[in-house]
Amino acid sequence: MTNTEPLLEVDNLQVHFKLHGGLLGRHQATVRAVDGVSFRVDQGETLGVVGESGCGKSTTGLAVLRMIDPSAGSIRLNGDDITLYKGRQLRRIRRRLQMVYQDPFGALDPRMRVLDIVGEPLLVHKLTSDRHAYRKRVLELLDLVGLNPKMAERYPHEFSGGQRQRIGIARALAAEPELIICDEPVSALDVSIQAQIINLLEDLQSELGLTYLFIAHDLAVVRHICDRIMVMYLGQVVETASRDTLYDQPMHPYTQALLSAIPVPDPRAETAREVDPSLQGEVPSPVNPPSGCPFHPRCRHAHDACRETKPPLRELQSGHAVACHLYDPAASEVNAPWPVARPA
Amino acid sequence: MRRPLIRLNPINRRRWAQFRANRRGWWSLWLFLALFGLTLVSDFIANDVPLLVAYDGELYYPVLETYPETAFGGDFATEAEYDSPFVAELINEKGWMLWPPIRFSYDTHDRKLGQPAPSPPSARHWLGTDDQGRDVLARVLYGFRISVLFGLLLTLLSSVIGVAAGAVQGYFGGRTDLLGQRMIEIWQGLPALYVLIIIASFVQPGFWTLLGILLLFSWTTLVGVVRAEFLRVRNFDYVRAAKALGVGDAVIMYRHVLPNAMVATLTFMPFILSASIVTLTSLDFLGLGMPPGAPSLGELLSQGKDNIQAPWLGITGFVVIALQLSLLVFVGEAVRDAFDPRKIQLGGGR
Repeated sequence: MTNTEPLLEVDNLQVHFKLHGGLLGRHQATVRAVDGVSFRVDQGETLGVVGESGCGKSTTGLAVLRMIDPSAGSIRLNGDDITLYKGRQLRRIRRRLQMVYQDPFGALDPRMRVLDIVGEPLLVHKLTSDRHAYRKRVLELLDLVGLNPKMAERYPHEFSGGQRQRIGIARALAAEPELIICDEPVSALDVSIQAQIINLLEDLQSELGLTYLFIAHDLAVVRHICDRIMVMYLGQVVETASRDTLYDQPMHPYTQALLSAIPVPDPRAETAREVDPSLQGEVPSPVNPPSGCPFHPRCRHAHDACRETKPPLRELQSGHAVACHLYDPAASEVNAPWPVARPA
Repeated sequence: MRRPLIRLNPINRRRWAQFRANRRGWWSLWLFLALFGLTLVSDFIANDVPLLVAYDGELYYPVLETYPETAFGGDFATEAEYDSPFVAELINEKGWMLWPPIRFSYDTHDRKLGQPAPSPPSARHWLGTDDQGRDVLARVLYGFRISVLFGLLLTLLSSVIGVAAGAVQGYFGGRTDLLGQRMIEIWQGLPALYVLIIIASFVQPGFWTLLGILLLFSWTTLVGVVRAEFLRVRNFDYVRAAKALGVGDAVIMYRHVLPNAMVATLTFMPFILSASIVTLTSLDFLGLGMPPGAPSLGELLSQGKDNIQAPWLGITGFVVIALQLSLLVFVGEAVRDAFDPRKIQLGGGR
C-alpha cells in the first residue's frame, strides 16, 4: 500500500432511484441501489467487486463512470472531483474512464465495421491527426488485443464472442484511459474463452500499466485477476481485503458463505462440500432493506445488536476491513464462533 | 464515408431480392417511374410552341427560350405565335418547324375548336378538352407531374421533420417525450382539412405556400414509429457504450440509432406519398388548392362533376388518379413486405 494519492477514490457513494406510481406519479418508494460505498483504487492495481446480483456492484461501476448520477457522496479521479461534472466537462472525463461490457454481442454497433468501432473514441476525442494515423492506431490496437488487423473491415456479426470481447477491449484502450471498468467482462463467454480474455486483460495491465475496477460474481475469476477484493451486499460494502487474505481468512459471514459456494473441480470433494445455508433464499429488497446489518436475516450468527444497529466498516488489520458486529472490539468478548486475530 | 455508395450488406441484398420477388410491386414501381419520367418532360410532349425551329440556317429552341416574332421576320416584338398561319408561313418559307406530339400546353385555350367546350375526344384532342377549351391530355400530363413532385417534396420534408421530432422525443424520453407526445396529440386533434380551408381562404396559395400549409399537419405521421424505435434502441448496450465513450448525443442519434429507425421510415414513405397526393387533389377539387389555371387532377375531377354531360373529363381524372394511387400502394406493399423480417425468413426471396 502506497501513501500516494489513489487513482480513484470513492467516498460514501449513494445511488438512490425513486419509484413513482399511482395516478399522479407520486413518489412511492426509494431503491437504495448503492448505499454509502467508499473505496479506493490505486494506480496499476485491480480492485474486484463481488456480490450476488442486485447488490449494487454494476450500479457502483456505472456511477463511477458517471453514466448514472450519484445521489450523494463523491468520486475523485486522480484528485479531480468528478462527481458533479456536466456537459462538456463530463464528456472530456469520458476519455479517462472506459468500460468493457458484459455482453459482447450487444455492446458493438452491428452496422459499423471494426475499424469504425475501435476508432470511435479516437474520433470523438480527436486523438489522431489524420486518416492515416487513425487507421494505423486502430490496427495497432487490434494487434494489441490479439486480433488480426486484416479483420478491421469486417462487421461484428462475423466474429465469435471472445473476438468481440477483444474488439470491446480494443475500443476501451483506444483513448488510453486511466481506469477501465470491467463489468462482468467474461461471464457471457465460454470457460475456455474466459481464460483467454482474463489472460489478455492481465497481459495488457502489465504491458500498459492499466488500472481495473473488475466487477464480477464469479469468485474464481476474481481470484485470478484481482489484487484487492471488495464484497458488496445490498448496496453496502461488507468486507474489503487483499486477495489472499480474503480467500484465506474471510471474516464476514457473507464472504464465508460466498466462498463456501464455489464449486470444487473434484467430484468427491464437491459432494462432501458444505454450502453455507445462508445463501439460500432471496436477497432482501433494496426498497425496504432490513434494519441494522443488511445481512442479519440470512446470517446464522445474527444476534440482537445485528438487528438494531448497522455495523460500521472497521479496519481490523492493515487493508482488511469488515462491517460486522462479531468483530466489534468494544464488545466485552469476541462473539465470533471461530478463532479471529484481534486487531493490534 | 469511405465505403462505396451502393454496397448492400447481406440483409439489404435479401430485402432487395424480396422486393423484386413481388412482381406486382416491382412492375408497379417501373410503371410509376416510367409515367413520372414521361411527365417530367411534359414540356417536350405537350406544348404550344415547336420543339425546334430551323429558320434562315439557324436553329431555335422555343421550348427553352422565348423568341420575338421579329426574329422570324414578323412585325411584333412580342413572343412569336407559332400556330398562327402568318408566323408559320414566315418560318416555313426559310426553314421548318418540329412540333411536339400534342400541340397544346396545359394552359393553351384552343381557339379553333369549332364547337362548344368541353369538346369530346377527337384526333386533335385525344382526350377532349375541358370547359375552357384546354387539352385534357396536356393537363393530365402536367397535373400528374405537379402532383407527384408536390407529393415527393411534402413526403421528404415531413419525413425529415417527423424523424427529427420522433428522434428527439424517443432519445431523450422522460419529460421531453411526455410533453412532445401531448402536443402532437393536440395538434393531431385539430381538424386539418378545415384549418387548411380557413387558411386557404385568406391566402391565395401557390405551390410553395400550399406545401408549407400541408406540411404543418403531415409531419406528425412518422413521429410515432420513429419515437418508438428510438425508445427501444436507446437502451441497447452499444448506444450506452457510445455514450460512455463520450460520443455526443447528436452523433449517437445519427450514427447509432437512426439506422434502426430507417426501416420503419422507408416502409411508411410510399403511403405518405400517396396520402400527400390525395390531400393535394382533394384541396384542388374543392378549389382551395393550386391557383386557378394550374394543371391539376383535382380540378379536372371537379370539372367532371360540373360537366356531367362530358364524361371524358370525369373518367380521365378518375382513371389517372386511380392508376397513380394504386401503383403507389402496390409499391408500398412490396416495400413493407421486403422489410418484414418474418417474410424474409419464410419466403427466402432467393
